[in-house]
Amino acid sequence: MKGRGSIPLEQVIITAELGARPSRPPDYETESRTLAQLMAALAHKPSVDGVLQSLVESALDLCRAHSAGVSVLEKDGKGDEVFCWRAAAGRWSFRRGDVVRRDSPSGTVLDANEPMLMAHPERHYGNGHAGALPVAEALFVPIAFKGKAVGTLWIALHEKTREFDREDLRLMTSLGRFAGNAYQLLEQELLTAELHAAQRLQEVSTELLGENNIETLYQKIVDAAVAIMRSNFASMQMYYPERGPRGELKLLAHRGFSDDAARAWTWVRPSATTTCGVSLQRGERVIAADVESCDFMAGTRDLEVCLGTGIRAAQSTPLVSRDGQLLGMISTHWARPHSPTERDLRFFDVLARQAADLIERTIAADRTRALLRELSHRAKNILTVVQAIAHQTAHDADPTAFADEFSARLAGLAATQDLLVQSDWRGVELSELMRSHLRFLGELMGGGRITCDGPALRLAPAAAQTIGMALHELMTNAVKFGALSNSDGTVAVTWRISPDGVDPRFLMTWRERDGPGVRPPGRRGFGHTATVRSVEFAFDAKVSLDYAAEGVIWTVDAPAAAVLDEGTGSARSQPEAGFR
Amino acid sequence: MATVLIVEDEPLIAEMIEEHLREAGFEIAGVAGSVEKALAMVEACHFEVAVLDVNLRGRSAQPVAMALHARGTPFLFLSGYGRVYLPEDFLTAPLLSKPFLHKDLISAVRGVLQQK
Repeated sequence: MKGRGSIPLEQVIITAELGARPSRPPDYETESRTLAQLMAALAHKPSVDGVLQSLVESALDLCRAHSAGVSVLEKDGKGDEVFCWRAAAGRWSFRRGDVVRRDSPSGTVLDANEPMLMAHPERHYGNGHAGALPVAEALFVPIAFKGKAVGTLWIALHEKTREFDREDLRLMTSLGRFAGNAYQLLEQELLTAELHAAQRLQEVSTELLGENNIETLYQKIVDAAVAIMRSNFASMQMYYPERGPRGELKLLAHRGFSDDAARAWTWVRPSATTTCGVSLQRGERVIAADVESCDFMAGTRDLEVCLGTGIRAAQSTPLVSRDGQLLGMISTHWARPHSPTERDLRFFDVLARQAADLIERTIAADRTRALLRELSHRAKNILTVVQAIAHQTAHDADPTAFADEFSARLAGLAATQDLLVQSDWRGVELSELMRSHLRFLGELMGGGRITCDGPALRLAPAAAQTIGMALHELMTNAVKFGALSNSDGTVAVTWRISPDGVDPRFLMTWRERDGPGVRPPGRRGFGHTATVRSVEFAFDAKVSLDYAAEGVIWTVDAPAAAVLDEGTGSARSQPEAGFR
Repeated sequence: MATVLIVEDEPLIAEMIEEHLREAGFEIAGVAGSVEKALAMVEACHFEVAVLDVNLRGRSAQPVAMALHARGTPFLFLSGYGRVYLPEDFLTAPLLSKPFLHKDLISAVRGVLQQK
């Protein structure tokens, strides 16, 4: 950004010429009057900036300069020393940006710690910072505070309408001394500002602990950001990683935006040319000390929105969780070109930590709410299933057997539920489901009376419930009346997917052998519902239940997509919310 | 007696609803367990009232509700979720919470038929 001039420093510094130039006589009277006015301002004006402004206006006046200013050394966000124009008057009154110490004539003056006159300093330092306006002559005096140089007071002539003389130097030295005193006040004011910032942080911490409305808390943080950064605007955004290819930022709260700006920035993408968009891309703090000269904003719609709402400078700081996840963004904006100082950012980063914690808390609360809602839904659904089982069982069984049969069916239902919970409701391995339902038949399995054969298949949650219930009924029937009711009957359970290609089918068989001869039951009860009707209905399946002479044979032929937990949404019973 | 379409994805619950309604003298036009099936039955079957589960195999029953509304057929939502989770545009539709009592199901179905 900064085109350095090629002329060596020695040719720019012309302080020695002052001795040779004719000088106007000292005007002690005007000087005294000016100093008296400044003293009064210092005593009565509430702000240091106000006093320094009066000071530079006096310098402009007394020395008939085109521009005048006070540059104060501060540390920027990266810890580099920069000069900040704490006050300026004349043609450069608008310019308050910061410039790195080594790129500034004020830096040279502080290094030497003596007044300097320079001719066209832009020939050496370049004019990127101060704009295209040439500087025919500039006179600098160091401002010392407790023996240490802390900044400069300067005056400039943009055209050679006159030359500075020894009287200008005398007046400037006198005003520079005054500025040193004012700086002491400035220090005090900074301490007051720090105290104020610390108090704001304390307030925000207290607010966050209370049971306040979340929107109110966002607003409190935004207001504290304005106070701590001494900015005119502030905003807080939350990061939604699932929106768009690289996530988007949603505006949670702001201070000072016009309706247009708030609308334009409701959602911000990483491709946006705002500081928050660029910060989202880079994953670090981004500062635009002057949006008009900011390279990434040049010629963009975002720049128009900025200027439209009155923003000239902005910074955005990413909000990051304690385990490093991006949660959102907190930004502050100024109506004039500005770069936050290290002191400001130190306090601001504490606020950003609190803002990040608040967002994290919000996300956790949302997740818990969704989880509870989902749990409540599932509980009600399973209760309704239990109700249906009770209804059917009551139909079939005589009152003395009801309790036993009902309890056994609930145990079967619970076995499937256990597996679903273990898998976070993501589906159940068919072999696991078999094992779980056969657990109470352990010794039969061990003796090889029940064999399972089939590939690893993951059932969708609803399918696991339906097939689990069918298996439970088949097993209960086999133990009571079928192949497992004598000492040498067997059951072979097999499953497979066929064909492998398009529109595959899920095929499953339960085949009993060597049991006592079976007969179909006189009346179709819950067993028939669970093993045939439910399976047919749930999967659009073809189901047969044969009471063959050698034992019961149950076969299922269903579309694999309806049974398996694979991609296809239709096979899933999991609602959109929760359990992610 | 009126004819009812049952839209419910859980087979045991569907069967229980069917039985309750038959006992109360209703005829059953059909039972659908998915959005697609329900839409096909709304097109093809004759019925005066429908009982509609809100969540069908993970999908919202909204398209079915819209089709019924377009046909002018009254219906009753069944849901384990609260009223705020009904499909948009149907937030004030008749709702029976799961689990439900036999008599509440019957009076709710009669209720929506009368409102027609």
